[in-house]
Amino acid sequence: MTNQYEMMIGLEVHVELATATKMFCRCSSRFGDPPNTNICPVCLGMPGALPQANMEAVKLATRAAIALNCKINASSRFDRKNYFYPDLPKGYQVTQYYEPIATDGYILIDNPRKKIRINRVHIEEDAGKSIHAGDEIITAEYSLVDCNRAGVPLIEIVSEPDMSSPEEARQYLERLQRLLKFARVSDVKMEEGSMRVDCNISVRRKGSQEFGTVCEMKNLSSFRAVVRALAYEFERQVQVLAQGGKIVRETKHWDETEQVTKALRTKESSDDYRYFPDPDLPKLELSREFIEQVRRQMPKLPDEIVSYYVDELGLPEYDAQVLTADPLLAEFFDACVSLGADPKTASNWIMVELLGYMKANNIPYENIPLRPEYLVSMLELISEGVISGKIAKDVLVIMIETGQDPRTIVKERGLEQISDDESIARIVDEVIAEHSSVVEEIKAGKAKAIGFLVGQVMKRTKGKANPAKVSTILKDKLLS
Amino acid sequence: MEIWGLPARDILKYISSGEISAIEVLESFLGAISEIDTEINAFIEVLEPMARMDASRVDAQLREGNSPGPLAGLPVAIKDNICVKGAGCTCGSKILENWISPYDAATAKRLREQGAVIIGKTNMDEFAMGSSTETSAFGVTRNPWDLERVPGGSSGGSAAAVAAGMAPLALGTDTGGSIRQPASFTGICGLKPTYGLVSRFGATAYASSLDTVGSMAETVWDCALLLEAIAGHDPLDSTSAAGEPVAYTKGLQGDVAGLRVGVPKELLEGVSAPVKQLFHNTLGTMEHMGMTVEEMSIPSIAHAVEAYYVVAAAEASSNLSRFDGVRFGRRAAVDTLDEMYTRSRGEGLGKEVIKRIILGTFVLDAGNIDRYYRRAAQVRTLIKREFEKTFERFQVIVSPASPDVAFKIGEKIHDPLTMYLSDLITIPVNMAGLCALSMPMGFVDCEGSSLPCGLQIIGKPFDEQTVLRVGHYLEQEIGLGIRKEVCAMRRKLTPVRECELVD
Amino acid sequence: MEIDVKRIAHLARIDLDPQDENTLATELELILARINKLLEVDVEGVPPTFALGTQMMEPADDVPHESLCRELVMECAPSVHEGYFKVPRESQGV
Repeated sequence: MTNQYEMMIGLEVHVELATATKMFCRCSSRFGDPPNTNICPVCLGMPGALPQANMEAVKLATRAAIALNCKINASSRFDRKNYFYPDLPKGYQVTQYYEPIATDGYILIDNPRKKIRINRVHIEEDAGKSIHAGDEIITAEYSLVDCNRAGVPLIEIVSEPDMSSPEEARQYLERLQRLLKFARVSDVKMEEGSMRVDCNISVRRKGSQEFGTVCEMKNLSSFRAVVRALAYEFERQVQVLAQGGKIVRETKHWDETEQVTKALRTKESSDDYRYFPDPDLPKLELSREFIEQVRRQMPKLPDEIVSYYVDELGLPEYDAQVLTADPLLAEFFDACVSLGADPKTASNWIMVELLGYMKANNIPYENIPLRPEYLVSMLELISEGVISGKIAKDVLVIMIETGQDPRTIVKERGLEQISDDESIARIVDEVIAEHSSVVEEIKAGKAKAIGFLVGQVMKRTKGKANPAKVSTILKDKLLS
Repeated sequence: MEIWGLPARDILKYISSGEISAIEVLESFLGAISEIDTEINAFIEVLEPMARMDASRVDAQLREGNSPGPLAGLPVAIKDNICVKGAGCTCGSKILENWISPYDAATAKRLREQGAVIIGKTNMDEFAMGSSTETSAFGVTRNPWDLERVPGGSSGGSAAAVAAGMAPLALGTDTGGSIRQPASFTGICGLKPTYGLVSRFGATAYASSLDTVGSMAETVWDCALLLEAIAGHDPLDSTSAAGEPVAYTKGLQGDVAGLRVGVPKELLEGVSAPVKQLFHNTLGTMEHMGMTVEEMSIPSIAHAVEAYYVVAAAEASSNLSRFDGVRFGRRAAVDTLDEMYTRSRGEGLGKEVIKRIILGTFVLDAGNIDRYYRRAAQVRTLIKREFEKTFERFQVIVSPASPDVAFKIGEKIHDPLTMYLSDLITIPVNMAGLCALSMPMGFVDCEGSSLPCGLQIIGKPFDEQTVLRVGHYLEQEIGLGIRKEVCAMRRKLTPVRECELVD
Repeated sequence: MEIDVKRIAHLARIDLDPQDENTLATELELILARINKLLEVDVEGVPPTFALGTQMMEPADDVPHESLCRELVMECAPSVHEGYFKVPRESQGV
């Protein structure tokens, strides 16, 4: 039944800007401080307090807009969105409703290859945080308000309803998150709330020209929640429509434990916000020079880095994409290459061993547990023949866990490869003597069986023998 | 020698010559307040300990040979919608009855830095919404010229304090006439500066695009002195204008002969006959001083009141949303969130304030914003343009500062429209962002009282200097007679004290 | 009647008893009748003046200042709990 219907998804993403202070006052915008310790008359909405915009926030918003291929508006303006909520100190939120800082951008996704249009990017201030004692909003006895977050600068990125599956929405979000991370606009962490996603979904019968009724979904704490909530809501709406029912325009919230969407009681509809220009703030005029300067100072974005890795360093596209999952990872790789590592070798070790370890131990990118120069000297130890690749995997783990450099580790733990011909020849002779039947098979022409004997030598040396040398010596003894 | 009741200029002389100390000055004014203010009710709070500390600090600086600044030892009364750190700031409202400001307004800070002594916080119409101080939650202020009458408003407390001699200088705020009309009603000078000249930071907002903080004093020179101290760019107020500080007191001496003075006939509509008479006498004096006076017209003024009420109410409805009972201020004892809002606000805010919030919410409502709010903003453009054109031909524009003298307490409070219309003369100045001085031009006999009446001198944006200069010259012609009346009035208030007649 | 006082009062979160509502409605009608004169003004093509001054915004540097003392702020707050502002719960259901 669902295949007779299609969905249109638009996303509204809020991102906290990586500034040191709030949007309209110079209180620290740090996350995680004790409640109400970053507050002042301005962000508490005290009588007489007035806003003063944050230059860095304006710069970061402009940078984001450029990264998202938007048209930057030389003149934009701040408006007040009026509503009452305990965590909204002034009784209005300062936002850009009528004249946003940027419009008409896009993001490309890969599968299917598609342009997702961005309607607008605008600057606004965050609200404080309400904690509902008893956790569930409905059963709370009272609520507690922390104003540390009140006034933290945000940008809201509003897409057009160009996505037609939850999977496309996920790709859009991943692309957006990666872009903003590389542009150093925000740390975009869903779990800390520095990236927040609201979804708008409407459903209609395929081929229909009319738009369906839009439902908004909030409280989506991860990309996975976005995908599941969209899939759930699509199914639900299709069922309603198929039975001849009507979709009610409403705001829903995703219940993570029950995996369902629930209607949220709303008191104000968007018509009730009484948006009007904030008379406390003059127009925000961005000079051409300012915009050019922001453009010039733009950090390298993922697409540019990917093509550099592929075209200049000769990495496969896949490697390039993995290494640009995060700017700190890409920086780590760049550091290895600039220290002389072979790009492909470094990429292999990072992708398989390092990321494998980090994933298994839940280590985020900002805590890459290894210094690039250590990885590079470990690669040198391999190419110098001091250790084998197999031993190197152990050395890598030891480096991470002890913080020691690889040469010290190898020396202190006696992990050097056995490379002198005499020692290897002696062990080879022992192995030949013990496996006479295999030796016969090899001499009879089954050359492949040599591998088995190499394995036996390695086993006896606990992996420290140089496998290439073992192979040569074996061949010398048996085949010449 | 009695100090209280002296103009600031004279007090400054005595302090700088070492004849009297700042603390003596303060004690003299505190004495006057304790004697007079029980009847007048100009002050919501007298900041005795704080003021004594300020005054002692000034004296210590003087003893050490350091200059405490141009306002050394001068007591200043501050309207109670301007924040002073450690003092209450009620805005005349029950909802802020127990709130103590943790910070200084930009103007309060500047005053202290220049040696002023903040003596107390003055009564006002609740959130500056009113023209009589009758909407204050802390009782009406009485007009020192006739205790049955209002002192005007909303800066009625500051005006009455200066008029009665309880403070030589006072800060007021002016959104639609709230400095000029009470100055007129109480026979003092009040300057509403150009929007952007004086920082609004720390002055509780009524209507952000119209609000200004200005000076009130007995003489034009004193007004200029106080303006000099508080004017200037403040990065904390994003609407504050850039610009170099101006020494207004020094600039009072320039020539006024040859100045072209415009008299818009729209500002004379509804003016009472005796006030009109007084105004024409004053125009005569101005001509006599060499100015050219010409009647003219600024037609869009006719719509200024309507546009003002839309804009002011709209901005106020949003500005006053912060009084919600969450972080500060009064909260009603209730169990639910919704009631916390509606009852805290319903009980904490007065009728006039509620009326304007409802009106403002209405004109911003989705279906009305273009019809009312946007249209009012367009009318505002028309008013601004016409004034700009007018100032191509005239250096100043004059009118009475109020259509009539002070009315009786309770006379107009139930007649909102008349009350609103009485602001017609002052409102266009705020709509266009101009500057204007209100100064006494004489007295009108009214039911046995002799009541003062003000002249409004309007200047183009940032031309306070010309406005003050014209006022200063005029004051030299007519000021002595007014000062005599003032002293007589004060003697009636407190017969045991002497009121010095200087100059 | 043009103004739905009940709805507007709720938008503004102000509790009014029915009598106040009536008085207010009457007064507002009067004021509105006056304000409606604005509708007669020809404003075709006139740009609105929402704020005064031609100055541009001068944003500030991103350097943190010290926070207000929490205890001082809490002293003036109507209800607090362990460094938080405390408010009643949201009422249940619709």
